[in-house]
Amino acid sequence: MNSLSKPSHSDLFSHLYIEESVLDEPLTKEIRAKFSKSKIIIIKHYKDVFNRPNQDFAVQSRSKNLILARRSAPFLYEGSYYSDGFEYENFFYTPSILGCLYDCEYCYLSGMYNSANSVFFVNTADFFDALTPYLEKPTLIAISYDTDTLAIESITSHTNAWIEHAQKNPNLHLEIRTKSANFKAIRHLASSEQTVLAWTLSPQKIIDSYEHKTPSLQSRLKSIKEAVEAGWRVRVCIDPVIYNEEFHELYPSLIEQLFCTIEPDKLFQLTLGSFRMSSTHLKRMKKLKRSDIAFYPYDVKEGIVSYGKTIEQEILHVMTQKALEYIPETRIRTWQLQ
Amino acid sequence: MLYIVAALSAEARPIVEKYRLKRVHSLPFTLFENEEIKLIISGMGILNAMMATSALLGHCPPNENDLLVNIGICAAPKNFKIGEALLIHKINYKEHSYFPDILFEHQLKESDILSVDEPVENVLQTPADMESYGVYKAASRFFRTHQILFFKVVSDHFEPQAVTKELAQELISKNMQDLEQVLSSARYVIKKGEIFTADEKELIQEISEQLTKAQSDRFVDACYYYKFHRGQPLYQKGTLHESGIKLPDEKLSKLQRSEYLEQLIKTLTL
Repeated sequence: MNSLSKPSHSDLFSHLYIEESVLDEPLTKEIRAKFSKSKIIIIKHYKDVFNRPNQDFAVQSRSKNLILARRSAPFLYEGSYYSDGFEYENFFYTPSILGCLYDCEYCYLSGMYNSANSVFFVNTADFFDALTPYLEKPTLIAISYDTDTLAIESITSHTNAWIEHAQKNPNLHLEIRTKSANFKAIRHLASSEQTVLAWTLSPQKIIDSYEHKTPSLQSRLKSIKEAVEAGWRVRVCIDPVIYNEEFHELYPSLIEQLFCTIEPDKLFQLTLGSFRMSSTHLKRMKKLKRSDIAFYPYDVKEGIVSYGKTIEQEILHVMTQKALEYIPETRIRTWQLQ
Repeated sequence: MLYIVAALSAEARPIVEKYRLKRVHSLPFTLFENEEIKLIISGMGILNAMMATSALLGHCPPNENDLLVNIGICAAPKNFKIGEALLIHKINYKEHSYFPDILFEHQLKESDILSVDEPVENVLQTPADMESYGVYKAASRFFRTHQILFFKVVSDHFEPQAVTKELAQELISKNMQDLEQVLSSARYVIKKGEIFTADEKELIQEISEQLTKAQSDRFVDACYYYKFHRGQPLYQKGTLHESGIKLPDEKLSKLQRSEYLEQLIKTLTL
């Protein structure tokens, strides 16, 4: 009884949970065909699985499963206080995929969801319909708030669908934020000024420590380079910066690496920001007891935890000064507590 | 600890014999145990299963490294072979469904199961038993979803009269190897290492007693930070670090306590 064998599932999605209502959807059938070895479990509502009490986010993270479901309204949410809305009058995010294939220890998803599994809502057309009334004005939609859409693109084709929808609607602007190295999934599409590909970068040492299952820095840089050369608007986000005793070595050197790979003039924007999170999410992250990030002695102000003014300013000052060696201030965006 | 719930003595017997479990009399249910296993005989039916599981777990509360398995026979449609072992990933009871997580690799067939209140003679579309729902409902108050397993062996094709005690015992006996493999894999997945050693816990406790509750919470957070970030022992005699988190020499005033806490946090997090 003491012997320990067999680790967790090595294959992605050992189990597919599928709502009865989407069993016959073409997208459901396509995804089922890609996971012919997965066990299929029919469910009534995605929340019966995704919102179950007493799930273990950390254990599930090692063996993630996929839930296919139909989303009902709301299909759009106003952009979060923690994110940059880039001065768009209409700024929404869309919860079309919940949960991420990657497992970053600092991610608010681990403090927000009961489950490490992902939910993909296959009724994409309903999201497009909900957006229509807003498209008389320029409207920014973040499609990868609660997920990394490009990471899961080979399964969902979701990013492709949104970019193609934007091509038909000139007022629709997209931000597609990713840590993937999966530019190839959208390489065949024509680049457009309406879509910004926002890559999150971290020093390799931070990736190794905290960003589990994500591609290496080199792979991400390679993907960025391809995207830039294909004419896409690329925003690089060094955000969140994880502060520790090696900050001064790791992060300025990351900026150097970035601009050794990408011609500075071709980068659309650089976003810089230090780690911050709602104190509610952090409290739940602590319960997972798996990361130093959850236990740093942050400052708490109006329900937001951050490194505090002194460290935050130091981070932004060091990073901005380094970035200014390559690009003008007008192309640098920073996030800090007001 | 491994907790086992079985409805019938016949289902439990192969496990009692294999692991040399001893009968104990501390609960109003038949209970067997050794140092690693507690096995309770619930009797048939959902209510019995729920009561026995609650009694067992209330009597000896589990921790995050423990596992509970409901072992027993079930009826099933003819596309399931008699003697086939199943792992259950969905329990249906009336209008509700429950989903134990199976997060490890295994070679068994997985299935839904329908928990019913009475023995069933009509042929159903899925396997059926009389305990899974009761066990899950009670166990889910104590365990995470991946710590509760349902290991069922098909005993009949909805012909309850054909099931004897001898058959139940034989069917479980024949699947003991699969059961052991499943338990071994499940244990691998749930196993979580201790973050602090006993000495570290003692030191944290001693220091916490010098602080207010809120201060203690901040200090403990800083200890977690140190352990995760540095990956080193919290308390090493003869090192500089020791001086930072040593116990105060005398009782501290309110002001001294605040200064002491800030020093502790600085030492552990910078």
